[in-house]
Amino acid sequence: MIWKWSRLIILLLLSGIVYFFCQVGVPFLKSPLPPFGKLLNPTTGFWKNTSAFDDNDPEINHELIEQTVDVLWDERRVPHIFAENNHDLYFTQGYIHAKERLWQMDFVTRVSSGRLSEVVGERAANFDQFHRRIGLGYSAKLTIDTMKSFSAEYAALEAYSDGVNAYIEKLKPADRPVEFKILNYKPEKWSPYKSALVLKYMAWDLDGSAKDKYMTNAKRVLPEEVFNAAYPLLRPYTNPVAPEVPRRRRRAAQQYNYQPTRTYSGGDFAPNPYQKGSNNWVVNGSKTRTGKPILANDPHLGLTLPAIWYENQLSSNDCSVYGVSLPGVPMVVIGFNTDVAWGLTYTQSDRIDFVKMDLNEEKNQYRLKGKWENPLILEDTIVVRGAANRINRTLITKFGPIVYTDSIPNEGYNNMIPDFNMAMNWTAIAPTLEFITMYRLNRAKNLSDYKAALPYFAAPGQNFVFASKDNDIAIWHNGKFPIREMEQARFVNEKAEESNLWDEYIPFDELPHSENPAQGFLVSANQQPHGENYPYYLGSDAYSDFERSNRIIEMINEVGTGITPQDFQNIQLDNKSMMAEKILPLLLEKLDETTLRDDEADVYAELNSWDFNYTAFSKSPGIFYAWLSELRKSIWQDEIKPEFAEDYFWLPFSDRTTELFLTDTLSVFFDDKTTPQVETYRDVIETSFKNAVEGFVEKHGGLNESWQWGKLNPTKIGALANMSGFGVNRELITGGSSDAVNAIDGDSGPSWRMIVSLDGETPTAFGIYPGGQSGNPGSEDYESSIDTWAKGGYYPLHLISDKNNPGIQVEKTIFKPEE
Amino acid sequence: MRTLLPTLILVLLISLATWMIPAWWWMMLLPLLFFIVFPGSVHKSAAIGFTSGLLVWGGNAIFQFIRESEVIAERVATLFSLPNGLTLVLVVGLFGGIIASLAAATGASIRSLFEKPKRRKIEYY
Repeated sequence: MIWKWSRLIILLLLSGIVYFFCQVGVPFLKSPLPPFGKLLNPTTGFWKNTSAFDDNDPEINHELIEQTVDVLWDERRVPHIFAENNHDLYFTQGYIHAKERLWQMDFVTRVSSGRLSEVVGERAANFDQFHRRIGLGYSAKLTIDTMKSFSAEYAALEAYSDGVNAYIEKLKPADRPVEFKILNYKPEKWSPYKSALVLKYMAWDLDGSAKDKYMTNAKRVLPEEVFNAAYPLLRPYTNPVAPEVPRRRRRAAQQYNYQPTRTYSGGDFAPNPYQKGSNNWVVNGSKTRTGKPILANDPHLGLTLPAIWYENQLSSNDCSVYGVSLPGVPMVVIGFNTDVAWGLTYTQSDRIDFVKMDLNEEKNQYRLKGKWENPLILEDTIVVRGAANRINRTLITKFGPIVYTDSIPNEGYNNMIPDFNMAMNWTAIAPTLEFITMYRLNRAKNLSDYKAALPYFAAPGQNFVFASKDNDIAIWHNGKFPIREMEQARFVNEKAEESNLWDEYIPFDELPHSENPAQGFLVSANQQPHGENYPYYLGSDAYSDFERSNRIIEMINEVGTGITPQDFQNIQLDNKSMMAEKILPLLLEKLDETTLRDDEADVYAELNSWDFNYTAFSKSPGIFYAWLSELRKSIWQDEIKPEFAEDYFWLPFSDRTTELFLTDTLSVFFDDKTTPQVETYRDVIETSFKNAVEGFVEKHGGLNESWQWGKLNPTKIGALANMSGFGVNRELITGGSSDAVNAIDGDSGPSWRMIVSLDGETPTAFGIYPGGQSGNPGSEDYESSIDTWAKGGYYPLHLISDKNNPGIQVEKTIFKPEE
Repeated sequence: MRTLLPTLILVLLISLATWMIPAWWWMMLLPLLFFIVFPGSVHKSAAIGFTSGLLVWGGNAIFQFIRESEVIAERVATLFSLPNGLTLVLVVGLFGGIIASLAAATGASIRSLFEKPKRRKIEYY
């Protein structure tokens, strides 16, 4: 009998453990395990998340729908939504975004609001704390409060939110996106606040790499003349975004007593991290075959699945627009309607300042003008799955939130924070009204509508390129930029002073911009937006060099007139390096061939025959990069104390190095100060070449197939949240480089390629993004366009004007009021 | 034949119940109840439970894998560091077998407490 009882107790215990393992998982591990019973069973588990999930119901009824809405799905699953009013339009858009991308929407808002550890456990707790303390959730709330006074636009946000919730309400557990099953949680109700969180997430994604700390360190270590030579305020060889400078100077430069800080030391900094960039450009009718403008845009972002963008057409009684949206946000972000087209590139202008704060012992007051000031203190709880919750306190001062008050966890995402007790002032930490710009731009008919819509857009700063059917073209370096002196913006501010407060912003009409320039075209590729005489300081250290923008200009000029969308496709897919074209012939010419070993001579011959294109099978780009990198090191690294080396600040950009070679061959920087002899620029060329080749041969062997650019720098499209297996699980060999117009570079690149010719009754447009309309990893439409995108293909984009006669094959869903 | 019939009945019961109320826990509940109600040695019950679980989940998984779930199975297999989707089918089948077997053994063990010692072994089949 005792044996029977013992056996039963053991079995019951085991069954209990197994039940818990199957139903709840193991939440208290650092990487919690999912509930395997729920996840693996073939009835309600992941097996159900197949292409069948993507099937569209022919009819959907809901009490909040006012009039019938027709949704026409084209062959690429792009929904063309036809509503009688804006409420139904955005309700339907919300419903469809949720159906296609619900988990992506949820994940992004969790990151933005610092609530990821609620579902993934303690490993995200510091990450969450950081996102709460930079104030994304706080500013999203302010944004929504302010939006309420814009009735039409706020109504759109509410209707969208209702649409998302209508979908969530009818979702059975077995039908949830597979990521919810793996991470074992339920979708939450949506709200306009969450849409604002998505925009704040995007703002941080672009703005969140401030250079202040690195520049301060460089300033501290380098003699002034070296610093000025290495980091010029105006980037060389750049054709600015705005060819003309605003005529007025609004106010004289103020007296500014800032002393560059000498007190901050660095941590583990990565030199020259990847910079997000983008291209957009436009030509007016004088240059095109049809006599109407053509506009192009390809925003470069980190590439993941589900794709960042979602393609849709939105038509109602007052708008008909086509383009890409961010899942979680109503309206179209980049796109076109029958009258206008627009595109965005990141401005790269400096929009974050750091100010060292003097806090009292209790860390609840800060000193300003000799008095203690009370910050706004936000207290919240970070709910951590499987571990103790954390109480979080965010101090918001007049100089922005203080991100850390004692020490900084060394985790990578917070590299740009220079020190603890440091307030971070950022233009996005405020009520910002980007929704209004989008709402109005979606309905714009001409240049003045465009100009009326733009001033609401605050963060992240964007170059808005524009074209209208009336043959107007324009570009605006747009956003909210505080008026600051160079020192205040460029370096860490040593203490809180009134002069460091942001009290004025550059007026909209004094931002760098251009309307209908004589040259007939406008180009932005994250280059410096203005030329020499611009009256305000916008930044200098983050702009992309001249390569992409100059190449686009060169190609537009090469075609001259009679430009077609096909020409624009060729430009978007162009792999040429302007830097290589500029500097490589000179380097090769100055290299003494007689001193080369056999393997070096092979490389010399290979580079000599290179056409400067970053094509997948070329063996030259990799070694050119390595050589350029050696050149930069040999010129600049000895100028600073060796122990600081490149960890402490960024080496000057390649454009400055190139300029030195091309214009100042006698520069003192060519001499290596660590050696007794005096090196010339010829010595630098030779040594750096030999070092680069030696490094390459050691790593890859003598010149062989593994030197091919596509193999050295394969394109990788992973999954959001780094879920292994949920990205593209095959090799993608493409050309391109972040320095070429076709900016595919490892795991980043053109996240949407769009070309719009405003000819005919509806525009002729082409586009593609890497991914697919479906956010369901079990669907064939999850990554259906990847191969076409990698090969440089495009799809025609159909702005359907008559829903009863769409002109293409469609499937229909009807959204109806509940009877 | 002594084990075939109860296995088939159990497979049928689990499939039917899951069809009516989709949930994974039928895989524990039904083998548990089955062997509380019907007699069987703990070992044999465990074996029957295992076979039933393997058949229901493994069979279902392979059917879905062939029909339309290959894409998602391959991704989940990679997530759990398994070589491919078919291995995942096997793992799911074994997993179903193990939990059903454990529940069946527990059921039989509970029943054994209330059984009087028998002179000879009588089984319902």
